[in-house]
Amino acid sequence: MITATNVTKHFGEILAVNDVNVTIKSGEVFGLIGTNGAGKSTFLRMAAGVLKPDSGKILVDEKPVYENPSVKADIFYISDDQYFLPNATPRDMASFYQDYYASFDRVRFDEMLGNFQLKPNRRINTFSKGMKKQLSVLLGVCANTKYLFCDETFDGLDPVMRQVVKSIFAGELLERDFTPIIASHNLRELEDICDCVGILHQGGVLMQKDLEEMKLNIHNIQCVFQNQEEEKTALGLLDIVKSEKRGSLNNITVRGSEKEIIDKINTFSPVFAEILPLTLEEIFISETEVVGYDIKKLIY
Amino acid sequence: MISRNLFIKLIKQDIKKRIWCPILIFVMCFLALEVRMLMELEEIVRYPHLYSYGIIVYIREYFFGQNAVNMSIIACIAAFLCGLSGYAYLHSKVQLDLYHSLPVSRSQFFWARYLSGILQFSVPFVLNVAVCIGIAASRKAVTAEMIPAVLSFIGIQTIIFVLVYSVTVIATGLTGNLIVSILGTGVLFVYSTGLELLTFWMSEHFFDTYVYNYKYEGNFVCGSSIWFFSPLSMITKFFSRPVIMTMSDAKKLFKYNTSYIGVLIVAAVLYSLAAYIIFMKRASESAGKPIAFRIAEPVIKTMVVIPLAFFSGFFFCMISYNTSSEEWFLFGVIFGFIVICILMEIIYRMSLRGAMMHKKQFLFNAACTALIFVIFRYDVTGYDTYVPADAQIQSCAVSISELMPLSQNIQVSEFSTHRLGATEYRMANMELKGNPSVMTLARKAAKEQLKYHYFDYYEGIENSSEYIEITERQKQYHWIEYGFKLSNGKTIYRKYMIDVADADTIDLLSDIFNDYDYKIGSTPVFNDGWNIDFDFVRCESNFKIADIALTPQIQSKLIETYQKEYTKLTLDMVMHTVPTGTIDFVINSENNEDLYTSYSGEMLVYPQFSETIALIKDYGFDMLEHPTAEDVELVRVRSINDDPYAYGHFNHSPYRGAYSGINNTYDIQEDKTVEYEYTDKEQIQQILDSVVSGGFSWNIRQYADLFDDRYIVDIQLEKRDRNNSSSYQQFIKGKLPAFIQ
Repeated sequence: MITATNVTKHFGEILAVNDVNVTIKSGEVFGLIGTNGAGKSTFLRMAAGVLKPDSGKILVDEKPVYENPSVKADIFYISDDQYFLPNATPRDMASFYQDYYASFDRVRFDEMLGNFQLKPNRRINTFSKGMKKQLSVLLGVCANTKYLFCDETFDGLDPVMRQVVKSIFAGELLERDFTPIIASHNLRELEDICDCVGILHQGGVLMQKDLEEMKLNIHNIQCVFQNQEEEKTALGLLDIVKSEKRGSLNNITVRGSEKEIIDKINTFSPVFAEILPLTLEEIFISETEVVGYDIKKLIY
Repeated sequence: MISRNLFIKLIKQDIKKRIWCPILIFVMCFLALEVRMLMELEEIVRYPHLYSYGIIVYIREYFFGQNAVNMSIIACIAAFLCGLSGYAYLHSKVQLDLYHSLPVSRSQFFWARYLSGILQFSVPFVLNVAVCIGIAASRKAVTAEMIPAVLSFIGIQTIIFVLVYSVTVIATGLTGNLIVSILGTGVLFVYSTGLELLTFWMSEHFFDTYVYNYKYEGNFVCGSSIWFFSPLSMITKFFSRPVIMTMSDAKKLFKYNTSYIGVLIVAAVLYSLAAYIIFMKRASESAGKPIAFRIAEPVIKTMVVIPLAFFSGFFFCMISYNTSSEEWFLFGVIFGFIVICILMEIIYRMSLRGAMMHKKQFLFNAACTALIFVIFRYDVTGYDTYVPADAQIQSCAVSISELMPLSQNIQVSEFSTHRLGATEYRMANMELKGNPSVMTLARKAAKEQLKYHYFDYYEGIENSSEYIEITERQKQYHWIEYGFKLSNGKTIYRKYMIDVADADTIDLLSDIFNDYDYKIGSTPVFNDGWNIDFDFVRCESNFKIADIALTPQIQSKLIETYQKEYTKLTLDMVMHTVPTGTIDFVINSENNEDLYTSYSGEMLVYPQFSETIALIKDYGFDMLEHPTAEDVELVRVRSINDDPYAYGHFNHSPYRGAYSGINNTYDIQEDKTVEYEYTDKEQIQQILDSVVSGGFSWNIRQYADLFDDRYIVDIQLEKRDRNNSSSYQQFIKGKLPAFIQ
């Protein structure tokens, strides 16, 4: 588990991370979302032990990470612009990491290189941006570390590769104690892979939620009531996050379990009532609007 | 888990990553060692008669000894390359993200890289040295005695490498940008040398009595003991040879300043630790910033701006026509200060917009610069007027310029030329005690603070009464240098200008010159500790020169006799007596017959030195013998330019000619030299009776106004080899024949 408590980091006069409190549970895929400059990379660099927080502490499995090689042995950090040794080939990089990560799986790496159609002896500086990202992920996965920090790693991948990487992550999650932390400015990329998402804005965490919990606890309902009096009474019983009305059709976002909401609405024998699926984006729009932010401005 | 062998793996990885570095170092070492050795061996084998020592001694003492300084330059370049290439990753965010996220402690990472850098130098270096030994062995020039020399050569070069390497790592750690780090390395490498140079220039420029100390051979860098914190200063001192005071020491082969090796090792260790601390304290986010530690910015700025502002002042002085111009100096200081302040801010901010930031700091640095200028310009510390109290003085050394000068450079062997200035010798050897005139003259000179007045030239200046009066008076100004040896072991050096036209001054000066200890301490010839075995004595009289071969007995007798009479010589005699001749004790080079060396200089023989003259006559040279008119075939008399002020009287006029202020050029005046030939025997006899060898005048001309500078006389003897006669004569003042006037 990674715990960040009141973590703050300044770069000169710029406040990059401001009093962040985050808990990342082991075995979950954590998505770190925010606009450019929100502090995602800084947070990941601190969590990887590259940067030292000005104040607060980051504990990985209850141990401080900065200048702690035994903890860092459980972390593989893929930066947004991963550095490869000059003139190195994928094999050279594997050898390089093998020296640092005792559990680096060289056989699997060679095998996965073939699957990704990356030539093991081709110089990395001739690779495309996407190929470099793929290689980074392969190196990270084959390092067999408990934590894998991916900073904007998915941005350079094409949709097919993204799916492949997601499936690799899923496989890893099943097979071993694996906790990927993925930072991105694109909510849609993380929707179908993350278990938990934290939104960073202006250096601080706006919110951190479990995706399933959020999906189960918030719903979009379209309904038409027989008269306005019933409509008013029924909506009054619901924990409405957002409400719109077009003609007699109510489009409402409501907190609560699906059953609880439907039961309440059915009490008033509505003309029409239907629960529609909410996208992660819609959930966040709703949640952040509640706390006074326009999410569209934060993550697009 | 981290592998046990991770440290070694890290080193291997690092070497593999920048393999170009050891390869480049190998090539540099190859050129500096094997190639140079082969070239020099070829020379020794081809011209063995030019070398006093055998090939074994030559390789051991010269190649692995004295000339180690050449390899040190390579070591410095290698250190610079290794330091920058090894730690330049600190300037790159992407590389930092990789290396500092790896499961290795920074400490381990630092030392692995540090050691890797040392190996990248030492392995190719030692390999090349081994090949050199192989080459030497092929010439049968390797003995067991060479092993310590080679080991110390390797050790010293490695220490120098580590010293410079650690400074480069410090500079790289303090900065976050490659260009700034290169500049920083340069600054740290030379900083104390620069300060020493600046102190030297400032003192020389502003203090009339300043002289640098005489401990090292012409080396201002080692003048002070407080500035040796930069590698360049330390390396320079290590390879500098202290002034040698005995001939036997001078003949010894060069040895490193072994007592200083410990200082180099301590410095290398301290700098390495400093580099480590900086590395550990350095924040990763400093990558890309010019300076990694913001707190260091004002300190660095002050340390750079102030010295450079003064250097700028000296630069403008140098490029101006008047090198002592205070206006141009001030302009340079102000201009340099402003420009460097702005440049530093631009470098710090990496933006032109930051040029005028930190006004308070600007004002602080300006105040410091102004304060330093005022301290030097107005001698706030009283440097020029300071003379130690009598109670502080243990003894004094005095050197009166232009009285009994010594030869400056002595060729000791093919290994070195030994410089022995008269003042250096006297400062080290003379100990005047109990002569009150010594301190009285020093106090008088310090109080009077005489200095030359330089004129700005204008048309007709030479006819102005002020110019004539001052230049005439200044002809009597002479330098005298003091070494006050204090009871606390320190020695304070000063030079003073004295006016020998001043009766009180000349009385005091006479007391000093007439002092037995002054005479004995003036020249190594009178120093028993030198034990010099001269080969011959070169005797010169008015009209001839001859060499007398010396045996130890003859040498001893001659020096003893000369010393006895010389110690009785008074300044009054020097000023009013025309010398009879000179003697010069000479050592002949064993390998080069044309190479003569002398520690005595031409020592004057006066008519009063009757015993010396008689002794020399016994040895076969009659100083009093004059040719008659019958012996002379021809006399040529050349009159020098009539204008007595045309030569060397203007500060800016080394030429004979007129200075044009309009276009800043010198117009060479028409040569007014006229040559007359005399063959009439009566006239020749008159000339012979009134001339003296021109060579005599040089040693005493500042004090003895006995020679007529207007004419040069060339006497051509009939029967003798012309080369064996003195051809350059001057008329004695007041004895100029009427037919020449």
